[in-house]
Amino acid sequence: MSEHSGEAILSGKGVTKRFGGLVAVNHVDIHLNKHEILGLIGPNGAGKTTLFNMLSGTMPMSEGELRYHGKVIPKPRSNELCKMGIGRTYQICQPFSNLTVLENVMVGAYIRHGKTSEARDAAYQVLKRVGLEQAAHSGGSALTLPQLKRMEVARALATEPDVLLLDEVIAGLNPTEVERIMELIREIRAGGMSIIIIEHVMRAMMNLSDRIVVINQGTKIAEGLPAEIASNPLVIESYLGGGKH
Amino acid sequence: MKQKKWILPVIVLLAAILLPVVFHIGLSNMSILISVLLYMYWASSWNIMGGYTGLFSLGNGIYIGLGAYLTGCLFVYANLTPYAGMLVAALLTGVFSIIIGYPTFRLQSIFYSLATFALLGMMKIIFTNFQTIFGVNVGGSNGFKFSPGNDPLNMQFSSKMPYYYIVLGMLVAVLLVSHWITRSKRGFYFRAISANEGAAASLGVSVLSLKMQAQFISAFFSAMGGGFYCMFISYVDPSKMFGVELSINVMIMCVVGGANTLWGPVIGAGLIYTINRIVTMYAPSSLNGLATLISGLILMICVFFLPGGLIPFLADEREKRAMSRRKATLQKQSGGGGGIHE
Repeated sequence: MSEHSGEAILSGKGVTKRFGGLVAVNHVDIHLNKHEILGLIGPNGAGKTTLFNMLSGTMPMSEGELRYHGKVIPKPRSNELCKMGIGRTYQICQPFSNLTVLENVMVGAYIRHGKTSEARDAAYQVLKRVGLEQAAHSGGSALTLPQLKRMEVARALATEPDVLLLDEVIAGLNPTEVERIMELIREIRAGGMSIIIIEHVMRAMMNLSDRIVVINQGTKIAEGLPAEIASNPLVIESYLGGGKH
Repeated sequence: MKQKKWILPVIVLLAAILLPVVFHIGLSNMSILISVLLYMYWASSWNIMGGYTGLFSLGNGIYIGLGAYLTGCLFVYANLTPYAGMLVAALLTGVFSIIIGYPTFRLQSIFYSLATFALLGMMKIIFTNFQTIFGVNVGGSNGFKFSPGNDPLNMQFSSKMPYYYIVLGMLVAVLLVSHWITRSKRGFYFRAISANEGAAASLGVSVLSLKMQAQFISAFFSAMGGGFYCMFISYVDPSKMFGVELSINVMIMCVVGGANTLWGPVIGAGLIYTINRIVTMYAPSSLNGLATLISGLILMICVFFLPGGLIPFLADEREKRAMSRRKATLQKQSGGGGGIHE
């Protein structure tokens, strides 16, 4: 396997998660290069989100090592990783329902802008960037699904991360919205961020990703360029061969 | 528009300041006014953790009681003037709240509530069963009594009017702090934690540290109120301070008025206190728990019909109108074409 440790911005080695006797993620090595869009795919229950949770510090690892900019992070915690520059979204959108959309994004912006007026300005800029400024003063719980997904992205962007972990921001959107959010993701990368994205929509993944990692039953079964992955028999068998994509 | 927002509170404050000057208020009515203000104050203190931060404490009596005992003991045994004693007591109580908070913050919200409730019961058992605690005589089940004499330096006055102004000042202080919190980074973090801890942490919020801050601030103010109450009646009754009724009442007042709003606790405390007062006045003395029963019923009605409390319900329409106005101006600013992102 190719070693990119020199330019990897975020990497996990032997990342493992056990829930009692169940091994949800089993010794997965994964790395994200600078300015790369890395796709993470796999069937339902493969352990993608669990792996994500560990990479973002939301869930402690049972075993394994996380490196950011080459440095080992001994005890990754989500709030500290966020300060370091790793932002994430959630598959199930988790708005702060007691705050407006702008305020939701401000919570993210505060980490770089301590003053309320500055945080508000920064949050508004991010909302503009994701095309949500019209909904800035709506309640966080009054949004449609595509808007919610944009708000999730906006909140993570407001923390001004170097690495962005996107958990299914495309699933559930209609084709026009898919096009728009893919455009947004490309723009974000062009702005200098490195992105790991979990997605079920294969067409979008093949289109968007520079590289793809395939997880099945907690183990990494393949890694490579989208074209390689699409023709990999192991992947086709375990993932695409299941009758649906 | 911003100026307008201040007009009503300032008028209410001026009216409250002038009330005892303009009207002659009898001794018992003055006591009632002071009690109402004190409940408003306690409900507002609870709001900082229970309302904004979602730390739904069922045991704020812990802090009220500790503040009362500490202020009383510092005054009686250390000759410390209550003005300073209240502050010291509040600080110590704040520290205590963090010590008990640290293990309980990791609990899910409902278990946090139960833990605070259990702790309240423990405090009651300790303070009613032990005559002396850490070598200090706290009076056991008889409560902590003292006769402070008549000296303004000891917060003892010949009339009740000064107490009215002290508690009014305390209420203004807690409201100003609450207002400042809601508009600061800390306040946004508090509310984010209340809505979704995990998502907040992913945005860089140090959940544990902020919960501690909320608990400290809330306990600090609650304890100040306890200290005031202790000096006001020169007596601390453990079964009242650490009793279920006080803690639950303070919570209900805030929730009924509108937790997570600045004026909710004030309106809620005024309403519930008035109703309780009327009920106890007119109910036959054989029906002892009627007032509690009624405030419980009000809580149920509120949960059903006004889930956000009274203030959000009243403010809803006004807010909606303001929102559509803001939207209209926003649309004008962006010229209508800036919405689509490509």
